[in-house]
Amino acid sequence: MENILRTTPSYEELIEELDKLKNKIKLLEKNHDLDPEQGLSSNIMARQNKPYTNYGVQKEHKEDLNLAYLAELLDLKAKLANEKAEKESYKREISQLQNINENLEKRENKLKARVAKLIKINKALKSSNADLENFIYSASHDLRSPISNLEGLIEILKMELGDKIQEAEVSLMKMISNSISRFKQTILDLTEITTFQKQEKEEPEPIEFADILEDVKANIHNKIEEANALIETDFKISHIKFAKKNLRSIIFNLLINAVKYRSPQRPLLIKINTRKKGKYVILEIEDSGLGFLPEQKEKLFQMFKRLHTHVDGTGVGLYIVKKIVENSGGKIEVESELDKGSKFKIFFKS
Amino acid sequence: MNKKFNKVLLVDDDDISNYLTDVLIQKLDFSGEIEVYKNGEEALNYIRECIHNKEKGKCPELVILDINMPVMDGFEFLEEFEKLQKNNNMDIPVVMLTTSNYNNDIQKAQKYKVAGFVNKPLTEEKFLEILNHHL
Repeated sequence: MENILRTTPSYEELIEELDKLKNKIKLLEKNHDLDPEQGLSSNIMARQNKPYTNYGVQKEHKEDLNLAYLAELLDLKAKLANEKAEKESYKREISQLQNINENLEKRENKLKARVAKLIKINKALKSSNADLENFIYSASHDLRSPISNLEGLIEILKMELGDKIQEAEVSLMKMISNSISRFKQTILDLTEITTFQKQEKEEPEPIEFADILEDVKANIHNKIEEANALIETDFKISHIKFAKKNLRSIIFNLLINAVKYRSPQRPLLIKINTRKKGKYVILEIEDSGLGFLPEQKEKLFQMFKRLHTHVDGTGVGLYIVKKIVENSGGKIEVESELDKGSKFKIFFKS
Repeated sequence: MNKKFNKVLLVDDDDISNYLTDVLIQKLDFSGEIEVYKNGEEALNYIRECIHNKEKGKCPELVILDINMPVMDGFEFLEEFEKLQKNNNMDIPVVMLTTSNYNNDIQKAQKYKVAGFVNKPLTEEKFLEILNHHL
């Protein structure tokens, strides 16, 4: 009894153990067919007082009872120790859970702070984007106004001069006009870069590759004829869902580049084909043109970068193509060999 | 023989552009008079005045309108001008003349009753096209 008490120091536990002990005793009394009215000790006494003829048997019976009682007590002690251990481990678990909870709360707060920061950054980005659009709009407008005035003034000057114009002046006028058109083209390209991103919002629609190609070919048929280009097509995938203007822009830029950067050494052959590969629809445009060196590849898709100077261009075409393709979740690859030709591969997400 | 107007109202803040338009109008000889105002508000005030004075005969018969102007731009002008036209049973055609070739601006212009949208500089061909097909 004393041992049990020492291991259960709290008063509540003590009361609890006593109750349990009482129950155990009752059970013991029941199991040994004792009279509960008389209590354990008197029952044992009563048993002892039973008229056993054999003293040995009586003594044996008394020892049995004591042993059973002791076993119960030991069993109880073990159970109590177990329960205590369980309680402690339960307490530990609770405190661990509390810790985890606190950590989670801390993390949640951190995340909330991060989200708030991101929302703020996003807002700032949107506003600076709008500022940029406004800037380009007004810059291009403000640049275009004087340029178109110049254009008109030159017309009037020509009109005024009439027949009096000298040959040297004609060529000067031509140079002025050329400069003006180049200036205008640059502004147009710049505005195109900002507007194509707006076109991204355009709903994709099913479009036939062949239709867009025919449209582009009709648009630049003079240049195609001048280059004496042979165009071969093989559309294994006939159509795609894409913003129409953007697909047109891709095909237009790649085709016009093939025509522009043709080799004077050999006839121009342009092979255009589509096929499916994994999750992509691939559009391939291969030419037999000038090609370029591997180290020039990086420059190819940069804004206002041009690899050749002998033909007109502002260097935004491929930049726009790359942006369109990447903004729609696709990618662009190019292979080329100098003086053999180039092969552009557009991977559309299908 | 081209159409001829008694009076054309030119609304644009760009002096050189106005000079060019003026030269062209004179060359094509299609208007007796050209009134020039440098923003929408001034132009509206002018039209209101000519309506108020019941001098409708002296009201312009054609408006050539820029978009980007200080104080009141071309679209703000159109908003007010259309109300004014409706309330006074007028039907003066408007031709937009602008350096803008933004789709946004072209689409915006389509919301109004606009006879033509011309990119600067105004040339003889462009003007004759509008004159003969849209007015």
